[in-house]
Amino acid sequence: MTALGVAGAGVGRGPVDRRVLTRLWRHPAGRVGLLVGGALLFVAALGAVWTPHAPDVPNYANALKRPSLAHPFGTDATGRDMLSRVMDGAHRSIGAALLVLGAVFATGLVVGTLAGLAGGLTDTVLMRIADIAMTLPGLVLAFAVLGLLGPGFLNLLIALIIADWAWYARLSRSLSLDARRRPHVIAARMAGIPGWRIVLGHILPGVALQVGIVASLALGGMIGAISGFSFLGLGVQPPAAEWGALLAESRLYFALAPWLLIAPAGAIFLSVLSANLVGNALRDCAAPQRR
Amino acid sequence: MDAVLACKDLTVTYAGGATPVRDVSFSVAPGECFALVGGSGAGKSTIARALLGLHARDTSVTGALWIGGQDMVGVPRRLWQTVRGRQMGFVAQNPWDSCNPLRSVRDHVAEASRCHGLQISWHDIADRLEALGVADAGVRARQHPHTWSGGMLQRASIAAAGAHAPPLMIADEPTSALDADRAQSVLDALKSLGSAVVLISHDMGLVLRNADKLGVLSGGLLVEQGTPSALASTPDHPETRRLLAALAPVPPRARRAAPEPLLRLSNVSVSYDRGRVEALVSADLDVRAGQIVGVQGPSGCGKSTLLRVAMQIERPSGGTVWASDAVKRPGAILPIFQDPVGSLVPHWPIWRSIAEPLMAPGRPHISRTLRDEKVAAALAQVGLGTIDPMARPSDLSVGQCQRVAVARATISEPAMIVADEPTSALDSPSTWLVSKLLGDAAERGTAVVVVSHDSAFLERVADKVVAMSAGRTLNTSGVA
Repeated sequence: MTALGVAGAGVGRGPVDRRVLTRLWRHPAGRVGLLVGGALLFVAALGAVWTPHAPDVPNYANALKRPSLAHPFGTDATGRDMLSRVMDGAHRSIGAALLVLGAVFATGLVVGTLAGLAGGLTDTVLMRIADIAMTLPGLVLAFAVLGLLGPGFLNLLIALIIADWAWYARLSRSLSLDARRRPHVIAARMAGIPGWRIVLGHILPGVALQVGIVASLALGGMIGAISGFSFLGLGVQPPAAEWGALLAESRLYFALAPWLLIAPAGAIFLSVLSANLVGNALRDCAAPQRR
Repeated sequence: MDAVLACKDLTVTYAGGATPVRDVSFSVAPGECFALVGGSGAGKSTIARALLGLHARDTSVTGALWIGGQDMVGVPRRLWQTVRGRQMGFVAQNPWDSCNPLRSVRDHVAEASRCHGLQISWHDIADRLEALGVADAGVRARQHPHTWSGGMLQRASIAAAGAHAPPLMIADEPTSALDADRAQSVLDALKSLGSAVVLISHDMGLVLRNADKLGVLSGGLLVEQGTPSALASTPDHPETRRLLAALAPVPPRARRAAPEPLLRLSNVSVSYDRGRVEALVSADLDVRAGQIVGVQGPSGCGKSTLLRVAMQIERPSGGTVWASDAVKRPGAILPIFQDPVGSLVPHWPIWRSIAEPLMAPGRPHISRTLRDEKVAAALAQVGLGTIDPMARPSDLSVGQCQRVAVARATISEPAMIVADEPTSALDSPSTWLVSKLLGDAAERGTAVVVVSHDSAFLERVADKVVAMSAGRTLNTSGVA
């Protein structure tokens, strides 16, 4: 009875099969993505508390230095160490993308599942709001919100959440409508399981997993979008570092110091790459095996 | 080499390295019916694809495969196209899937001739269909596939496969989408063409009646070959014995239906779309504790609607539904579905699906230990005592999933179980086991309503069978 003893201890009661993680690790592309992503997360965590040089303090005597041992990626026009700037910016770029995705994922999941399962007027009202949000192209909507709220990192995050949540709500709604008709849901209803337990146990975990896979595939795009808005000056405001903003600053000195582009562009490239690798692998590993 | 088909050490290897078929050798003489029989996952369909040259490009086939004296292993796809149709015909499992739904049946038959440059008149097609037992073929051949019955359309597929009178026909489960009584006449039509037939099936009974020689597949290996009489009398391999055991009658049980009905539907009707669609016109059903009631009829006759009314998840638009107190409380009626994998929560370990009915509110609270013991007992009862209760549905075969679904339906000893085509996705040993498990449940006093298109299965398991047609229940035939 050891196996049941383990079952009784509650292993595997979580919504996601833990073996998905094992399979992700065995997936070649997934492992590369996890390793690169893990390294970036480590750098982001480290950069938030320690950098080789102060990231925000100018040192004009040291401006636009070539890469060297002391400054592996050179220094910018005010003499700040580029490596330190990129490390300091990592938690803003990656953290912001995760935050926005987490927020749109949660909003979309709750709104969409509610609409799908409640039906009737609730469904109609929520989905018409989502339709309105979806009629405007995401970028235009984000620009409009930023125009109303003014530039700034927090406002950028709000704008991106407003631009994106409706897609996740739509997806969650159709997935939960489908899940509601599944035989195992009908079986639970007939066994007398109350509705909220069916929603939490049967419907939400499956919907969340599938929406989560879509969100993980969108992570790369989100890092790019945040960098893009910061590049345009609408996101992080100086002197705070962010990869897109760093790219925008470095661009001005391209003719004098092209190496300045390497660190921020490379960081964006690696983070988008690892997010996409993990997202793709997750889709391969977590797809329910249909026979 | 006189054999029309001969394989020597045929091995199929997938891109991932898995070998679903290993070292299979057999030969088929002209005019002979050779059957490959095995349970689900034995490698039957993989062999069919290899014989037809239809394996994926990254799948490798090794060994030797002579068709009409030519070794087809590793030949270019172009060459296969000259062999398929002319040297061998193919009859697939589902006749509706094999026809283009946008074109008429005679187009489907004519295409088989025309793709090899053979002209054929509509008249000839009608003649061929008539010869295979399609009545009024001249008119019917102009209709579209969805208006044909499965048995008739399978005859049309046989006519198409036989367009060039190939010496060899390959039939992959040609009758499993058909009712048992129609299955035999379709096989007779197939054999009437005079070609050698490779018949692939999971149904030992069908194979024993029809094949001249048969090979038993298990785990990708051809474990035993011989004539039907030899294999049936002295089976060597456990898999052969397992398949033969599925032919045994379900052990008899004490049939003691309660005197009082548990649920009675009289003159029930169900309509949708403000009365424009009538799913159920007039149906009667009387279910008693300890009784198995079969509901049989063609697809679309209202079987599943009747079942939903009985499950009380569909409200009838007319007639009366009388339910005794025993089936009124929540959890008193538990279902078993057609799709075994979809019946289980994909992200839950199976113990949790099984235990769910025990954890409904209103039931006495049970401790974890007791619950785990009950789950283990329920798994043992359905013959899955060795399966890890932490396994996920994706780790199990389809037949095992259905047994888990049966365990879930029986663990809380409900007053009634309703089963909608519980065996249509299963191979014959699993079907046998599910029949036995339903009988066991009835013996413990549970009423069972089981819907199926398979009359042989219903006759074996049910105490009485209600026939349905066009939304009405017709006669009731039965034992008890």
